[in-house]
Amino acid sequence: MIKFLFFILFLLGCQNKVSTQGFFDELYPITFLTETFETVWPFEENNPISFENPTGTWITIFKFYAPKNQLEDGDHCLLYKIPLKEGEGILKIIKSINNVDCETAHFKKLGEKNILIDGISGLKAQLEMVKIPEKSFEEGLSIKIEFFKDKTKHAFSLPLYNYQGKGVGKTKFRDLPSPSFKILGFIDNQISMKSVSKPSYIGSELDTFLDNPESVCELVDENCKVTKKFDCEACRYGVNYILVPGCVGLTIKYCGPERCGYKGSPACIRGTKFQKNILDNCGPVLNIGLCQEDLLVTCDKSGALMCI
Amino acid sequence: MFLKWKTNISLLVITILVLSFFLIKHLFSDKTGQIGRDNQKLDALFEGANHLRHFWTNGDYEGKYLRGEKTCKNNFGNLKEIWGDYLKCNPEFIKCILENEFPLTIKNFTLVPLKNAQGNILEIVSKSLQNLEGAPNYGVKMSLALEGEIGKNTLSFVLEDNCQEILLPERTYAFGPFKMDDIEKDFKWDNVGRKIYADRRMVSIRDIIEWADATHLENLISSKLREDSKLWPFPATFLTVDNMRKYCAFKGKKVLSAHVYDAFTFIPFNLDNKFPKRIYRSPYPWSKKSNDAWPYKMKKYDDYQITDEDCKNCYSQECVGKISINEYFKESVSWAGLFGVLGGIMEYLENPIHPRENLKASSKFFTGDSDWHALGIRAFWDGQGHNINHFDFSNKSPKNESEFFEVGFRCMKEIVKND
Repeated sequence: MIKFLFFILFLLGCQNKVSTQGFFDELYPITFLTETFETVWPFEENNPISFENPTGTWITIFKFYAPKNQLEDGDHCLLYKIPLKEGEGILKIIKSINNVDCETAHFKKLGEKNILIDGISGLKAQLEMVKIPEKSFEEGLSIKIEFFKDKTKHAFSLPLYNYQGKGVGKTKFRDLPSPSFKILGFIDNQISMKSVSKPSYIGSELDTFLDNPESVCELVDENCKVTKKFDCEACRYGVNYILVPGCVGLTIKYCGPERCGYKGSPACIRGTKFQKNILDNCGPVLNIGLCQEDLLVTCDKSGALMCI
Repeated sequence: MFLKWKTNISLLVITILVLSFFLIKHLFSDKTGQIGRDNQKLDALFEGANHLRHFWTNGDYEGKYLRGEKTCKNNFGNLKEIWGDYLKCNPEFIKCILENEFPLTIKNFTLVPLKNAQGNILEIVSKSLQNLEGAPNYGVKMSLALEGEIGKNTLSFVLEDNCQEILLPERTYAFGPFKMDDIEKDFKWDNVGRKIYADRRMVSIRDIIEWADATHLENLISSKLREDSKLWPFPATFLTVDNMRKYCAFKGKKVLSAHVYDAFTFIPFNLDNKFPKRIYRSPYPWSKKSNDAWPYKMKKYDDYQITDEDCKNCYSQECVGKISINEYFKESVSWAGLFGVLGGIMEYLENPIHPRENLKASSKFFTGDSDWHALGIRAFWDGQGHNINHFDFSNKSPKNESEFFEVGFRCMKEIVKND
C-alpha cells in the first residue's frame, strides 16, 4: 500500500503538465529572446491560422532560435497535438534542442525540458504588429495564441522583442524596420550569457579575392547555381560582390575590405540594366563592369568579372 | 494491527489532500493572458532598454538637451550650435542619458545601468574587435539590472549604429559632369536590386577618436583634438587614404565611390522616370537651373554679393567669417540626403574609373567663382599628406595656399542578394 502511494506521488512529481499561466510563463522568455523563428505555416499579418487537420497528429507551430551567445544553447519548439475530439489537444514546449527538427525531438524525447498543457481545442495562432512596449510609438512583431480549455477561451500575446527580421519560413509578412536593437541575453537563474564566445568572424584587412579563396561565402557555378559556403554575416570587414556575366542578377560574395575597379580587383557592378543582354559567359568583354580607365574588364577562370 | 491500519488511513488522507491540491490548482488556474511576475521584470528591463534605444536612434528627440533644459557632464559644447543628428547613434550622448535618466522606474521596478569588468558603462562592439557572436559591424553594448537584484535579473543588449546611413533610390544614374554635346556618350549605371547606403555626413572627429582608441592607433589623435570635445562633431580631415579605408572597413564599409556620390547629389530632372535614356543634370545640388545658382552668377557678374543663404548651400572662401560653418553643415543637403556636398570641406572619393579624379575640391579653400564649385568636377589627391605637394588642382589651385589642406571622407556599403 505504502509503495503504491509513493508511486502515485512519484508520478505526480515527474509530470510536466503545468497550468495555462505556467505554460505561457515558460514560453514568454523564449519568444522574448528569440532572434529568428521558423514555421511551415503561411502566416499573414492579422490573419489567424486554425490548426484542425490532420487530427491526432503532432505538428510544429514554431521553432524559435535563441541568440547564439546564450549559455543555454539550442533551439526551442512549440508543438501542438491536434485533437481527435474536443478538449483532447495538447500544447507542448520542447526546450534546448540542437540540430534536430521539432517532430524528431518530440518522438525521441529530446530536449532539456518538456512542458505541456492538455485539454485544449480550437487553437489559433497569428502574427500581428503591436506597440512594443505598450504605449510606445513603435510597432513590433508579436505572436497571439488563442484556444479553449475547460470551455474557457484563453488568449496570450507573446511579443518578439528581439526578432531580427529574418527566417520566417513561408510566412508572408511586410518588411519590418531595420533592427537597431539586439538583446544579447538575459541573466537569471535559468538563462546565462556566454562572456565571449568562440572566434567566428572571417577575413582580414588584407584579404583579396585572388589571394584568399577561403574568404568566399557564396559561389556561383557554371550552371548559375549559388552555393553557400558560409553565412556572409560572418564577414569581419564587410562583403564584396563580383559579377558573373553569364548569370544575370547573381554575384559571387566574399569577405574583406577590397575595393572594386582597381588592378587585380573585381570589377565594380554597373547594374542589372546593363547585364540583361549578356547571353553567354565572358565573350568579347564587356561593358557590364566598371574598371579604371587604363584597365581591361575580363573574366577569370571561375567566371568572375575582374580588372586586369 | 490497529497501528498499521491507522498508518494506512493517515497516508490515504495525505494522498487525498495532495491529489485535491493538484486538482484545485488545475481547475482554478489563471485564464487570463497576464504575464507572471518574473516576466514582468523582463518586460520592465526591455522597456528600459527601449527607452535608451529611442535616444540612440532619435538623438535628443524631446529637445531637452538642445534647449539647455538638461545638460550632460561630458562636454558637448553648445548643443544649440550643432546639428541635432550628431546626437543620434552617439555613445557619448547615451552615456549622458544613462547618467541623467537612471535609475529609472518602470512598472514599479527600478532599473540601474551596470558597469562591465573594465568599469565602463558602455562597451563598443564590433566584428573587427571582438568575437562576440551576433555582434553588428559596429554598435554599443550595455546592461541594465533591477535594483537589488544585480547579477540575477540583468538584460544585456546592443544598439547598432545605422543612424547615419541613407539609402540610394533604385534608378539609372550618370557619372561625371553634364556635357550637352556629349550626352549620348554619358556613362550610365544603375542600382536595381542593390541596396546602396551612404553616410549622410562625413566621418566626425569623435568617430575617429573612438576608432583610433579601439584599434590602438591613438597616435593619430592630437591632444588638442582629444581634449576639446567641442570640435568632435566636425569632419575628421587629417587622415591619410589608407587610414580612411581602414576606418570604413572597421565599420564593415568602404570609402564612398565617386559615381555613387554623383548619384546622391545630381538632382534627377524627372523623379517619375527611373530609367531615363538621357540624364540631364545641373552642376548645383540645390537647383535644377544652373543659371539660377549663385556660383554661376558670381562668375558672370563681377558685383554679385554672396548672401548668408548662399553660404548655407555652398560654403566658399568668402563665407569664412560671414556665417558659422555649423549653419552650412546643418542645412546643405542634396536631393537624396547627403550633407555638405558643395563647398565646406574637401572630400576624398574612390574613383573606380578615373583614378586621377578622386577629390571633391569644392571647399572653403576656393572663392565662389571657382570652377571647382560644381558637381562631378574633381581634382587629385595622392592620399599621403595634406600640403599642396600632395594635390593636383591642375591650373586651378587655391589663391591662398594653405599649409594644411583638410580632406574629409564618408563611408558607404552595398547589399546584393542572390535571389
